[in-house]
Order: sequence, then structure tokens, then C-alpha cells
Amino acid sequence: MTTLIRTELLRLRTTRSTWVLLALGLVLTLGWMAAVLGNIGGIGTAARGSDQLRADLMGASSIGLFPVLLLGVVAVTGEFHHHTVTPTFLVTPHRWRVLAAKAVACALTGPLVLVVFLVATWTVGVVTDAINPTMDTTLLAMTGRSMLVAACWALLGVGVGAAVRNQTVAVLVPLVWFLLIEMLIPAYGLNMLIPWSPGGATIALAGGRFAGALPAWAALLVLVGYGLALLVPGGRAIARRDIS
Amino acid sequence: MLTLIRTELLALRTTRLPWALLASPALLAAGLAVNAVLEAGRDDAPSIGTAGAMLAVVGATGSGRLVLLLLGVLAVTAEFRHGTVTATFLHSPRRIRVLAAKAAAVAVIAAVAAVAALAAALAVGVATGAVPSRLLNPDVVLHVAGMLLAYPLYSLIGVAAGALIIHQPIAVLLPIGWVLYLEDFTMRLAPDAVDPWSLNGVTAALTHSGTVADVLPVAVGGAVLASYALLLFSLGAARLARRDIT
Repeated sequence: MTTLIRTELLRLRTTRSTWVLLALGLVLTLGWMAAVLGNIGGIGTAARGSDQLRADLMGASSIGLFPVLLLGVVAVTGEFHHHTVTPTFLVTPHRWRVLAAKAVACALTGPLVLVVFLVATWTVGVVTDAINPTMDTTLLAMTGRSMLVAACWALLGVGVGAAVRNQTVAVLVPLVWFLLIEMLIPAYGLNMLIPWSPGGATIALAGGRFAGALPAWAALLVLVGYGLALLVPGGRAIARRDIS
Repeated sequence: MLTLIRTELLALRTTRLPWALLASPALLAAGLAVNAVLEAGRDDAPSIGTAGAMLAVVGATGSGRLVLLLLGVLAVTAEFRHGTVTATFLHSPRRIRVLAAKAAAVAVIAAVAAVAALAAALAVGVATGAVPSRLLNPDVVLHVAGMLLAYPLYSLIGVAAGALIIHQPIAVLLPIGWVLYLEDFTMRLAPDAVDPWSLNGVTAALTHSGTVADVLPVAVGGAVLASYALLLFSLGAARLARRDIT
């Protein structure tokens, strides 16, 4: 099993899509951060050097969660897209173990990627004199929570990839879910569902506050639950399916 | 050329995904219209019977244009994805005509989808009383006409994007990501004067939406959006004509 995980990590390290996604996440994060920086001094914005501004600036890395999710999606669907799944399953006929290795490898890589985004925002913030370069527990707690969220999103991505398999559809599903479906929930009077939705659980786990937010441990369980709920049926289908 | 267009329509009619994509603008419009009706009168949303609520319901027609953009991308990239492009270009070696036929076929479908989306939004609006006939005026008609016109233009942009980036997942994500996210980011960094000329800016102008500051005149917006689409299409055609096909 450790060999399988190491293989997946090697694949992640050496394929171009990983680095493209990392670059995309970095550009998105820094773009959002630039917008926050540009707003300093505006009405209702936090002052330079304040904890609030640091949270706002480093919160820009949350947009980088989409590339982390896509990393997981591509890990599974890429095999089908490029037909490499045949040799993969010939080398390792235990298809479940391959999927599990992909899930573990992505859940290990996702947090690392997010740390890169966090370090980038922190560095830019310090250089532009917007963040006070001192370490405190708030900062460490935020980093820890963000890493947990990233691990969950990577797992979620592997789940979506296993459940959908068609790469084109699989990369669109999360986008439509988070940008359209979750946005429509409040209008239909389903506000009590929000804490339990993937988006709501993510905010709760990341330390955001809103009415009815779950405690962090429950949010973590909910997110992992969603990942497994997608991964297990998807894995069953992959395990039983004809691979050509 | 007509045969080519008919062939492309046949291809779109007989594969599964386009049907799903054709139905979704109407479903999306209905969903967003119901959403607008349910939100009316709450928080900051205007109440039913006001022009604001009517515009929110009618405006649900517009968002389906992104789905047609996807259809345009898929019409081109699916050929590469499934390797059928070799056979297609052996039959009709003039690649640019094939691409033009695809664009025409997708534009026809986009027009149908646009009308279906409008019908869905209006059905919700009339049934709930959010779109009373006494509130209709030339400005609203212009708004609706612009939203309908944006459908074929966006589908053309989709075809162009597909021809430029033949890798399907990226070709699907990039244009959608640009419209929903990336352009907004870019515009925050760019000087304000550029804003009205962005894709979302000219679309807002064409649809006579009036919700955006410094919007261009309707005709200029339409012309600029059409020229963006044609420019992208020419780039895509030039790229496709010279590309190695395996």
C-alpha cells in the first residue's frame, strides 16, 4: 500500500496538470489578495497590521481550494481520459487499493498546496506592510484548519472523479454545485440545510461564523462523509466495470 | 456548406450530451426565475408587481448563454476527444468550413435554446404575477432581445475556444472560469476605463441591463461582443487549419 501511495505521489509530482493547477491557484489567490489590498482604507475595511486584515488577506487562499479539488478529480478521471487506467489496473489488479492510494496521496498533497498559497499571501502581506510579521496561535490555528479543509476537498475531488469518471463532466460538477446550487439554497427556505452542505461545512471547519454553523469536529466529519459517500459508490462501479 | 451544417446538426441531434445541454438553459431559467419570485419582497429584493421583481424574473433568461458556450466548446473538442476528427477532416479537408458549419449548427441550437429559456422564465413570471403586461415597455423588450442575441454569440465564442484549446477539460473550464471569476479579478487590477470593454461589460451593454456603471450603448455593446466572437473564431480557425491531426 505504501508503494502505491508513493507511486501516486510520484505521478502527482511529475505530471504537468499538477503544476498547472498549482499555478492557477496561486494566480487566483494573489488576484483576490490584490483586490483586498486595493480596498485598504475603504469603508468597513480592516486597518493595516490588524488581525482582521491578516485573516482577510490570507482568506484569499480559500479560492485555491478549487484547484486542490480539481487535483483529486484529475487524479482519477485522468486515468480514464488518457486510457492509462488499463496498465494501472494490470499492474495493480486490486482496484480499491489504487483508489485508496489516490485518495491518500491527494489528501496529503492538498494541504501542502494550500500551505504554499498561505505562505504566498503571508509573504506578500508582510512585504506590502499589511501584515505584522509575528507568529501567534491564531495564525497557527488558521493554518491548521486550512490544511484540514484542503485535505477534505482533495478527498472530495477524488470522490467526484470516482463517481463521475468523465473528466469534462467531473470538472464542471463541483463548479456548478458550489457556484449555482448552493447559492440557490437560501431562496427556497432551506436555510437549515446550509450548515450540513459541503460549502457550509467548509466555512465552519475553516473557522467562519454563521447562524447554525456546526462545531469544527462535526464539520470535519460531514466533509469526510461527503467524500466517502462519493468515493464508495464510485469505487464500487470502477471495481465492477469493464475497462477497455 | 449546407450539407456540412446539416451534418453537424445531425451529429448534435443524435449524440446524448447536446440534449442535456439544450434542456438545461430552460431549466436554469425556470430555476432562477422561481428563485427570484421566492426572494421577492425579502431582504433587499423588490416586491412582486414592481419593475425590479419583473426584471429579476425576466433576467433569469440570460444565464443559460454559458451553457451554449459549453455546447460550442464540446462540438469541437468532442471530435478530438473521440478521435473522430481524422475521419471528419478526411471527408471535408477544408477545415475552416467544417468549423464554420459547426458554428452555424450550434448557433441555430442556441437560438432555439434562447427562446425556450425565455418561455420558461415568462411562464414562471406570468403564473406568479411577477411579469404583468402593464409593466412591459420598449426597454424591457430591448433587454430581452439582447439576452436572446447573446446566446448565439456565446455559442460562437465556445466554438472558437474549442478550436483554440482542443484539450476538452481545459477548454470547458477556462471560458466559464473567465466569465464567472477571472475577468472580475482581472478588471479589479486593470484601470476602470477598461471595464465596459470586458466580455461581461459588453454583454451587459448588449442586454441593456443598466445595472453596471459606465456601460456602453446597446448597439456598440452588441457590435463589440460580435467582433470579439468573430476575432476569437478567426484565431481558432487559423489555429485549427494548421494543427497536426493524428
